Amino acid sequence: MRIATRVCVAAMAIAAVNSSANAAGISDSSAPVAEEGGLAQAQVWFERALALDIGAAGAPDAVQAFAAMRRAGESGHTQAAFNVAVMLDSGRGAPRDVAQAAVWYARAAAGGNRRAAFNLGQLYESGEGVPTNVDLARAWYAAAGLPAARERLAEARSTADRPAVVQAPEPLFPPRKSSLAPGLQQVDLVWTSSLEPEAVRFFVELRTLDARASHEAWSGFVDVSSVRLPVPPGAQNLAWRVSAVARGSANYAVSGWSVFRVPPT
Amino acid sequence: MNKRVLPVFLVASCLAASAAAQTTDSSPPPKDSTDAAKTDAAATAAPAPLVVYFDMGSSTIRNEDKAVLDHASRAYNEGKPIVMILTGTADRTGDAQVNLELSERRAAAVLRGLLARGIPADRFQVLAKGETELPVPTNVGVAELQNRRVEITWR
Repeated sequence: MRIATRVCVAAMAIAAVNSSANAAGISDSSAPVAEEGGLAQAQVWFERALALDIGAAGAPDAVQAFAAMRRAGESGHTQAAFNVAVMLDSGRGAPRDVAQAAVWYARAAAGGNRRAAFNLGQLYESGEGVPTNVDLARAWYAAAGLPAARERLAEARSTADRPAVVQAPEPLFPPRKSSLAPGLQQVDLVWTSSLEPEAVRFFVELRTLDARASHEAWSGFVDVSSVRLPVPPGAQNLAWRVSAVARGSANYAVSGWSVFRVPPT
Repeated sequence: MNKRVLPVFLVASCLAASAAAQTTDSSPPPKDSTDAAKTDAAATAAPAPLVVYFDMGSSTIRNEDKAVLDHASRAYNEGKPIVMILTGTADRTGDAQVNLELSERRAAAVLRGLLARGIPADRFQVLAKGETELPVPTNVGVAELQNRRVEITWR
């Protein structure tokens, strides 16, 4: 018996590039800001990356698309950061690297990309590329606010053993002593945390450093594992650290200071 | 909730409509299509397809395979209009007609799983191949795990 293959196309609406992102209900908080030089340049890289990926002029080239996408992401383009994460996560245009994908998801999520938050929640739930941490998975699902993420938030449970004492979070981005894109106006701070003995929040401190003194640029509590902060005008050398602070007790643990540089344009 | 279920019915009714087109023929499935797919994948260095396996006669996604759906759902990016192709097959135990319907239910189960993960319904192409074009061609009556699957590819 051989039965003819049945083919059914649910709907293959391949919409125009711009409208497809909107139709999918994706956060558009990363809409290009033409006034800012850095982001305007980032938008140019992003569009070039998409054109390369789709093959708008010639054969699609995922490897070149990835390079252009990463350049846009490094300049602060949120959608590009999300796409870099997706490409690293699925191994398209670059070797699969889930740990790096997690960093890029966190950066895109810090910029308001909901799907990045949802995907990062999945990674923390399953422990791919990051430590398994159901509390952080739930925090990211809550931050995503998507219907799919709300379902996961209700389902996510932990069976893992919790450690006896609060562990210090580990800063992931910017890498220690790294130099970021010149003239960057916002910086994404990304850290990771393994499962804690009890529910925690993260306390983030960002300071500027100059020859004479150090000044606080920002400090505050964050529920998830990344935050996007403005770089104070003129600041070139910065340092940050992050603490895990128990919600229901006086327990906490703090990471070491991590310094990075934003060169002038 | 209704909004998400609707596209599944759409697919199911589409499949039912095309069921009339089936033919009977005892010749083994052609091999060349799988070979061609392999060469193509190597040439473009595309990611390997993700595969969800099923127990005999079952279209229930096993708990350990939910990570595969998660992984597939994370292939959805912004700006590039992606199309996900879900290809369901069944092994060659039992009746071919039953197996065709089984492969259809398996593909639909994977579709529901991906829709539940927030992938828009207009991004899917769902194929039910029954016991034809199998990844591992076998004789009738062979319970081959490799053939009880839904393959997820995207482009």
